[in-house]
Amino acid sequence: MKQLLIGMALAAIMAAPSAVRAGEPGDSQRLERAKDLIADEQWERAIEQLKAAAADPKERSKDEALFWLAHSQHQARDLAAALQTIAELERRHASSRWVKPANSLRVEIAQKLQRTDVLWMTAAPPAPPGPPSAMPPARAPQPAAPRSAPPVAVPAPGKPPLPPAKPAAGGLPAPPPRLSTLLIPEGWSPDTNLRIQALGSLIQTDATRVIPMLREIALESGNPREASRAVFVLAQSGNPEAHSTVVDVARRGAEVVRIAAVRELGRFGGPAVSDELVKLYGVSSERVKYQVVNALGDRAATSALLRIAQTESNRRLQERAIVRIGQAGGSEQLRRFYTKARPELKHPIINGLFNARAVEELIYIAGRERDARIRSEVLTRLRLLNTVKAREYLEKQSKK
Amino acid sequence: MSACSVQETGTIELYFYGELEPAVHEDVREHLARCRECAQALDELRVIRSVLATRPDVAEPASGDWGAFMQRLDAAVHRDAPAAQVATFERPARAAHRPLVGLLAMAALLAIVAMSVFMVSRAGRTALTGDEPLAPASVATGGGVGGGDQTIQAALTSVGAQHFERSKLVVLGLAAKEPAAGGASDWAYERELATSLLNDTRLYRQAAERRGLTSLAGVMRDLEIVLLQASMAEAADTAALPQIQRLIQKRGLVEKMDVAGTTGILP
Repeated sequence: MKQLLIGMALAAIMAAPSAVRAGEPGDSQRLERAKDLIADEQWERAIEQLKAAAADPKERSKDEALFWLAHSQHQARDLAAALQTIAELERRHASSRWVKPANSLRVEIAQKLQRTDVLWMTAAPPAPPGPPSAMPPARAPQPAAPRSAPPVAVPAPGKPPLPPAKPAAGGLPAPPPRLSTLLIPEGWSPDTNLRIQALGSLIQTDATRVIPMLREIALESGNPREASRAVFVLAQSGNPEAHSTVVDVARRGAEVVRIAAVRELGRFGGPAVSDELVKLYGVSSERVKYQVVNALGDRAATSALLRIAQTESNRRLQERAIVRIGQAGGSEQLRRFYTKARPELKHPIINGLFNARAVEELIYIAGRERDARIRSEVLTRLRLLNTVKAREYLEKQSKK
Repeated sequence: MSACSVQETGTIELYFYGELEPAVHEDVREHLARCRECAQALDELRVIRSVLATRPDVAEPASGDWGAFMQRLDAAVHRDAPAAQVATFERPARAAHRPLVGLLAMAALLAIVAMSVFMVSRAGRTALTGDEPLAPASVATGGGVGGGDQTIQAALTSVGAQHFERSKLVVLGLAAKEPAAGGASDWAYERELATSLLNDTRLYRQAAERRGLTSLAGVMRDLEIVLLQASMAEAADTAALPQIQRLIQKRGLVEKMDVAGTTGILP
């Protein structure tokens, strides 16, 4: 008996590590295989593996398996099945960290289904209810006339959706109330990133309502990254009112957000934006001014940059403006500026011309510069540029 | 480290580039005939030149500013030039071997950096102006206050190229990690950075999709899935890093990001 007990104890000890190992997060071979199939974009096979992983009682990363299952179903265009899987993930693993990316996927599906009502519920969720009730989700703020939703739960050919609790007869789409619940679960409380995601869609169809909401996020969010994302959504919309809002944020926002706003103005602004940027320059901090210079460079606004180079007392900003003039193709302006520039500005101007690969202007300067050291710098740059003209000039110089 | 003082002063490099005074040049030539180490260093410089000859044309660094580089270069030239003049030409006490492999690796690294710099700068210009050279009037083609559709597409492409460049810190970092060497803490930086880039990537991908930039959106989607896996990986999950590395490799993400940056892909 004693031997038997010792034997059982030994067996238990030996078995224990493998049992623990089997439950380790990275040890699910099926999940690992499925992720490799996802990498190969083999969605159907990934779905098979992930369904099996999600149903496996030994699988400890069921929440992750469910997320990737929803992802794969979404990629396989089985949107209804993806929504059901997300709902299952939320129901079974409410506190899982995979719920957050799953919610983002849910909003994306709503975008694909053109469910503006769902997007509005995400962008402007109703205030949290008092005591819990069995009431259906509150209605979203009155959106513009909602588009007719296309038929949703159309499964891919030969591929039935996940078996629901009560299967819809004949594989027909789930009835709207059920789908709404899938799209807007009870207690739906989207975070700011989800709101921005939804607003990014809605700005195309309902800019008047969306712009103030994005403006509020940009100006009042305590999170500069979220604020900057709101600014991006405004700027890329191409909407004149959104553009004015970005200009306003560039004046009034927190410094980091102002920098983001100026950057987006440089990227997305229209023809008049250079004047606006110059005005902003006059009322901005050094960091914002630096971004304004970059934005003017993006707009190739060489005249404005030259004004800054000529008048700015901050050396760093002045040099940056010179560099951006060169990049923007203002070589001739730089050459003219060189002839009148203070000695300490000659070096940055030479750099600017070098950045612009302005061989002719550099040769011009090399031929007239009396300071041997500066001239040597110009010759070094001509050697680095090594164009035919530069080589010819250098060859002539070496023969002198 | 070289044992020959001639090499240490940089004289061989100056000789190679023909920057020495004629008399000194002749002295070095004679020295090279005697000093095997310096002769080898000269050969290696020739190899590097031939390797670099195949690199792409470098337009400018990502920031567009060569200033800092040129300042360092100028300082180095001015600092080293006098030293080169007083170099003594003694036979080295011992022949230290400078590994060719190391120099070639440096050359390759230079070529890669140069290529990246070229791609980003070109993408930026391409995105703004298409194939035309950058000119003041060519940037904003859209009507009204905001840009037109083409301007917005070009701007989004530029945004994408810049975002890919930022994301390379994560993607290249993950791809180059040795899974067996460090463990989870070794790639904590990449996981953290992946988390911070994920939301932007999703936002840019969706904006690209809405504007019909399908190729750009496709690369963004690949990046998004890598960032998602990296940001969600648990510290104790030893299988996660190799899995992500396979994902990067299978999707060809590094190459796609390079192509997107180079060509400023449009639909």
